[in-house]
Amino acid sequence: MKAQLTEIEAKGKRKFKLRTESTLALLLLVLAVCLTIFTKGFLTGTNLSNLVRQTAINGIVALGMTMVIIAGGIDLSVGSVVGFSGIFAALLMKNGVPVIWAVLLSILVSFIMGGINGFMVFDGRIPPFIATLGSMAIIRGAIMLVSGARMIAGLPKSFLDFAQATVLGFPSLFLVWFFLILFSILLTRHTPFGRNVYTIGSSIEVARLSGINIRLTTYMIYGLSGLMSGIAGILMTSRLANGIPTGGQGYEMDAIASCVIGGASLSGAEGTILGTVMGAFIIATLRNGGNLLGIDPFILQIVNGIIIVAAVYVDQYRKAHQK
Amino acid sequence: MKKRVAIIALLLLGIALMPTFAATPKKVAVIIKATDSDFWQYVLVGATNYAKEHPDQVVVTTYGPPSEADIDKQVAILEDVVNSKPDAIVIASTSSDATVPAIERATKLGIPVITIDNKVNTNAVKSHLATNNIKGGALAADMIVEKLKAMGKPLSGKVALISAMAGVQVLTDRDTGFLNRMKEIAPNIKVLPTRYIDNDIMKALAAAEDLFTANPDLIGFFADNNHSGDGVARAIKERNLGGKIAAVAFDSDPEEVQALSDGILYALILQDPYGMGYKGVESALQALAGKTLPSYVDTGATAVTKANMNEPKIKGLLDPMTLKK
Repeated sequence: MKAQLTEIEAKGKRKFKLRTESTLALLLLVLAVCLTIFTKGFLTGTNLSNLVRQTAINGIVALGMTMVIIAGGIDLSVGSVVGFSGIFAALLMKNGVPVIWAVLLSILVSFIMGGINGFMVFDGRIPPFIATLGSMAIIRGAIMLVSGARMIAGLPKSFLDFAQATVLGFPSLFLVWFFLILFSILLTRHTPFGRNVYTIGSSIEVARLSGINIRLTTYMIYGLSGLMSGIAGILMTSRLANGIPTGGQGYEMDAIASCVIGGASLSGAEGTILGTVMGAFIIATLRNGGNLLGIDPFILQIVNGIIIVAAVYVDQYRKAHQK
Repeated sequence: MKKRVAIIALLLLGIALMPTFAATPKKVAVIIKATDSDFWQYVLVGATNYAKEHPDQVVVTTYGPPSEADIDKQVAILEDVVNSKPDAIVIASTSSDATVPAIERATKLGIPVITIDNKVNTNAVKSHLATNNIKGGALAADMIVEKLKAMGKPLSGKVALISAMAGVQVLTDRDTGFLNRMKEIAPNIKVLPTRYIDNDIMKALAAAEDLFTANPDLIGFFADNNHSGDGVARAIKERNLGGKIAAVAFDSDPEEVQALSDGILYALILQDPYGMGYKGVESALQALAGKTLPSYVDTGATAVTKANMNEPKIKGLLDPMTLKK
């Protein structure tokens, strides 16, 4: 009888086991409810549409970052790639290259830049932190060189209209992000590539023994991070109507924070796309709410830091107690 | 008679050319805060233009760290420059203290130092040329009130203040000047708590959007540099509120100039970075010639609206690159 009871208790407890995503969803819900109560403008179409547009750029960068982090790496060059792809596309368009080619070419170059990070990490055996720290500086320098540190204005209208467009009431920026989320979820959860990413992050030795092509997978992981940053850079340029030389500066920090809040572990093999998406939303909602409420920006910054640390602590605590 | 005139003319020409042949051009090092922004590029254009206009008097070499966050890198650059022993140094020091030892060392070595933009806490500087940012901020408040009056709106309601970054002296000065003048000339206008945007246009845009959402009764905006101005302009444009909001921003870049001519921003408050570079080098030469210089020169702040933006003098302020030689 007693044994049965404990079994039932255990079952009940198991049902209450919270996955990272559910904890985050709960936190997001609490935030949203509070903001709805305390502000006039939070739960309005305009604000929600603003919120998803504000989140999209960082959200897209963070998707690529998630895969890199799951594989046990880090990519500090994402902010520079965001800036580069924006400036590069703007330059091409200014020189008469058709919009679609300018966009595709910039994304391709971003992909290759990411691939080179992968090359440095795998073939050069340079720790990811150092390799991408280097490329962060190299790419930012390249941006300044090609743009002369000046904004590039006067871009074609068809390109600028993209970021302003809505489909069925959804902002285009959000839709692009949404499709990239679906793509990333499919990739990480339902393809051999996705499994390989987790395996490499868990143990490079195991990955080698199971015959995974680590070289190609590493190129692809960093390449994808570059690709996502490239897309984000294009969207940012379209939204701001200018190629901005300083664009994307510091974005690596928001991306890493989104992943970490979303349950990704910097020691690899842990993390999900959905978690990162929620992490990105939490960061953006805090910023949005802070602006709406007129909260002291310095306090907001402190809260932001606390949330990053607290999210990881809670996650570690939960895992330790579920084992 | 004609002969005599010719001889005198030749003599005069000879006297005029004498210093040219006698003196070798002075080497002046110009160090800016960061290479990543239009503003500092304008300073360099001013400095190099002076050299191009006076090739016999001065040769200008330019230096600068990649970003304004690189205080230590700028100090290292200054130390290296001092070691290379130029004739004079013109520096826009990012930190008011970190560069002091190197500047004092330069002065001891007999290299005169002129500071531009940011004041440095030492007496070893020959002259300081800068915008009076408190005055500039006050000018922004004047322009917002001017626009509100032109629109026939009462001087009451909410005005938002977006600042590029916290803890930067020139920005703090602009904000203080703005707030004080606002209190003085429009005491019934409430200025909302300052939002900081890490000098990121995307964040400025987000902040401006959010302020519109939270305050439907917003009547004005003050953005205290170009990136914050770009974000505010974009938010106003996206909401189709151009002309209905009294928006004023500091500095100029292509996006701000576009917004000004589209009537989205009512006014831009412009400093004279070109003049800082140009007059900086000029002052350095005067110091080398042994002249006593004023300890502080206000390089001025000018309000530009759609009405005067096409005047030749203003055009040079809006885009000093057009002055490049």
